[in-house]
Amino acid sequence: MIYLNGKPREHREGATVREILESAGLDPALAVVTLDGTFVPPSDYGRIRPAPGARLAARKMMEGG
Amino acid sequence: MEKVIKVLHVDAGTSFYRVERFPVGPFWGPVDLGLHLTGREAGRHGVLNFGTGLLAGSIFPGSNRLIFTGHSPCWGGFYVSAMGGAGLIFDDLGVNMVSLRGRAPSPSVLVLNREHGEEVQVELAPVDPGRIWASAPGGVYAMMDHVFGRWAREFKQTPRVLAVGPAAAATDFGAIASAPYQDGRTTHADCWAGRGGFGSKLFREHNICAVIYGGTCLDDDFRDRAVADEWFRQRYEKKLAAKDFEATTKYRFDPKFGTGGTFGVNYSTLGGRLLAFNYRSALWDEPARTALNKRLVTDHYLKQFNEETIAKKQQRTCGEPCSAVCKKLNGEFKKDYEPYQTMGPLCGIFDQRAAERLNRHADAAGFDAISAGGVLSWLMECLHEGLLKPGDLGVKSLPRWDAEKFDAVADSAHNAELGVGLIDSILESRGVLDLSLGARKLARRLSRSRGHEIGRRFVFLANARNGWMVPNQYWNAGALSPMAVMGKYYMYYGFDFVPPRELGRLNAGRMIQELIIDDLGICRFHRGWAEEMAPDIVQHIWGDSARFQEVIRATAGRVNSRNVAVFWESDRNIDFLLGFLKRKRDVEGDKNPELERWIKAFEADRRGAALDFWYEIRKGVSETLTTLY
Repeated sequence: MIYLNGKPREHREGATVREILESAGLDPALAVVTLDGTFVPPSDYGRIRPAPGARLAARKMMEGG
Repeated sequence: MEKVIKVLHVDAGTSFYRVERFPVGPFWGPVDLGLHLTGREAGRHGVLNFGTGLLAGSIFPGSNRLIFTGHSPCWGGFYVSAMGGAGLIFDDLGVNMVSLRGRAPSPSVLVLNREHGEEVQVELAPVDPGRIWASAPGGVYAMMDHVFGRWAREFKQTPRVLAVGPAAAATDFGAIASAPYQDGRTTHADCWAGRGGFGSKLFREHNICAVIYGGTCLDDDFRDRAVADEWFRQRYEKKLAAKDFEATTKYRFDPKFGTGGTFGVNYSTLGGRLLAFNYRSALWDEPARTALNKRLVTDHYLKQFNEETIAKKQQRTCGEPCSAVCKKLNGEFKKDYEPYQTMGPLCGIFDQRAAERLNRHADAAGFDAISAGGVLSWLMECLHEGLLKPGDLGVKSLPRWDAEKFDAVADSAHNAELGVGLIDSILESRGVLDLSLGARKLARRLSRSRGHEIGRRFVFLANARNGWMVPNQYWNAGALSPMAVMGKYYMYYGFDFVPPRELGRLNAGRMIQELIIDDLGICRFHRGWAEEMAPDIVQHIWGDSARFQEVIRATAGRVNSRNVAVFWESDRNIDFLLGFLKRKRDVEGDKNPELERWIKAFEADRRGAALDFWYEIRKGVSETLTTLY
């Protein structure tokens, strides 16, 4: 179990941030992600594997300009 | 691949020039090296640097931005400003950056041509900018046409022109413009290094009113599409072109909204977040905002845009081949969200003809359009409220700002005409309108002499003693953050509530990501893959991604070490923030107890809570960008 945007979510151990986002229907390219309050760079989405109980927040990246 | 970054130093005062080489490793691109050169020369010379990232000329789409760095006259600190596409021709010079210093004895055009041979030919040619700006088609457009017409034939391949307008002479927020030329004619797809006042810097500090450059140098750019496709396939199971096409949907055409570009998509989704009439809408209730948005934006301003620009597919690129085709046009008028927002609804303009009239006038004058619109809307409110009289500002009318009875066409046209008059007043310093030292200085002076109600209505970010910047046009706390560089997207500007300490940390994280793509000269419209892939690309090509990322983090830290953000000086900034917080709770139903706590704190002590909120963001920034040993 992890928390995604404050809500509990079943979690496959070893899943990457990218996989968690995609399984929740979120586009990683349009997400600003924090893991336990720490910013996660997009280049780490495929590398970092949140531990059970982790709090992942995926906020919508605005496409400004 | 390139192992050195070549900088062409040009002294405009003496015409002396030389090339200096910096190794790739300690240095990676126009931002980190620009920061180094700005610091190295500080106290001796003010330098304006412009150049490309290491990926310029490569097959990666969006990799040809021209990046300007230096001490910004309006921001009062180090600044980074990026111009789309202009790096593609710059790459033909065979150097990565120009570092300009010194002041030409008279207003001049800088000509940079590399026609075979080892060296860039450098020429400084005196011109009469006042006469050129006054000729058709006016201002920066006349300057571009004049310079192109006079020098283009000396280049083997089509050159590119950077130009400034009269705003660069009269104010500290003049921009630098450049439009690609095809078959000897402008394409109207203007590209701007808009923010940071680098047009004013180029003209007032270096006496340069235009730069024309081009060449025939072929260097060793990464062009192996099969290899790049394989990198992308590994990450996305898609080839480079397919991934880029997907990542740039919003900027081209988004079928979800039936529109495209920043103007189309943002106005399709803003709803009650619309900012209008110098941010006074932040003080309204939600039904009033949504009614205004529906009547004047959705059913008129946006509808016109969709019918005229999107349906007719009037779109172009910045000069490099690109699937985003982000330049949305109506004839000669290019439509971007933020200029058409500040010189649109923020000024009480909701009609494309009126917005085109005002935006074109401001663009021809060569202003940073976002800041120009913010200043105009502030001045209009001062007129509307009777705090200033038309004669004080060299104009003859008052704005029509009655939202309930607003006539989308007639009142917009009236307000645009008033805006045009105010721009002319600024350029001619009519009445009290001396903006030579910037709008914050003017607000301070008018507040002292005419009353504080004037200054408290001007929404801007304050930096150091006189630095200022009209914020990005997104109604959220991120847009008012105390970052070292503001007015671009070195912050988090999503519409959700983020507790301020965490917002500061997010801002810092986003700043690092934006620095990665700025330093590589990649357009942020491609960041759907660029932020994620950039370290991989650097690793594949230069073999040292860790060093690259270390330099980026150090650059973010060094920029932040110069962070002299000043607490909000305008009460309207607090209205902006508190309106955002209340809307999150009352309209969007955000039940975050932290949000409730902040709103209560504001209600108990408005200014004290604002100061606390501001410092909490700053703490989050500092704790992220400061290295503790």
